[in-house]
Amino acid sequence: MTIDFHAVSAGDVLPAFTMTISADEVRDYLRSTGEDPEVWLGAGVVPPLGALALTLAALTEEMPLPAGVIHSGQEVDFVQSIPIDAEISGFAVIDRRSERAGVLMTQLGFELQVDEATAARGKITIVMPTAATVGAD
Amino acid sequence: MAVSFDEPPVVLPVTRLIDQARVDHYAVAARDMNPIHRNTPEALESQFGQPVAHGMLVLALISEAMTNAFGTRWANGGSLQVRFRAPALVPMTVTARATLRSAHEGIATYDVVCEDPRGDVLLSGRASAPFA
Repeated sequence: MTIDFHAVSAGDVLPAFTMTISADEVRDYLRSTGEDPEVWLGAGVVPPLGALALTLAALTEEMPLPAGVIHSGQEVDFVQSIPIDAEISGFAVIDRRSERAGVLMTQLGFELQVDEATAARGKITIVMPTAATVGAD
Repeated sequence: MAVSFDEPPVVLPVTRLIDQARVDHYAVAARDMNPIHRNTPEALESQFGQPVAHGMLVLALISEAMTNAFGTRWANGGSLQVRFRAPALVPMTVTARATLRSAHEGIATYDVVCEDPRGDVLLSGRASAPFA
């Protein structure tokens, strides 16, 4: 069951999720961005922004975003590298939710853990005009 | 590749064409199939009138620049704080730049920006990484 984006409020905790990121997924991600994959594949480590991108994908599977949502800000601390094929546990909470001047702002806090240790944490800010649909990011 | 330095490294610019083929590939690889990024009626009817690149795809150029300078150390103690300022209309050649702002207790902090060919800012913020 997915979460209704319009129904959440500050303090709401999203269901925890788990994921693994394979070498093939790392290779494909880096080919798509154009970055040389050898640095990461050679070290057996997930590129940090790739982990973040797939975290966003996991979160939007839980809480589909309506048309009009734009990714407006991103904060992330890469605390420790994530090994390829490691089981990653993800946690997210609605940190802030406000509507002002016709714009709905939502900020999600998230944390990724590997072996119960923090691997990354940060905040994702998304905005959506409440008066008109303009497309999504 | 984990590297360390006596001084903060220079982070060299990364320039890349973000065309529709790259955006389409990224959509699959990052599992973000939002139609606004592809050649769809939703994209054509949006306020932009054409597909726009994923913000995370543009941000990936900053991560690549930091990786080129710091290696995998970027994944161990690196951090990013950015705001997306303007959409990257596809196709667009984007340049990521990082300018050293400070170096304190082994952490180098850079002002980072992604620009279009005219120098207009697509995203801006800060990136930090351990260098010592």
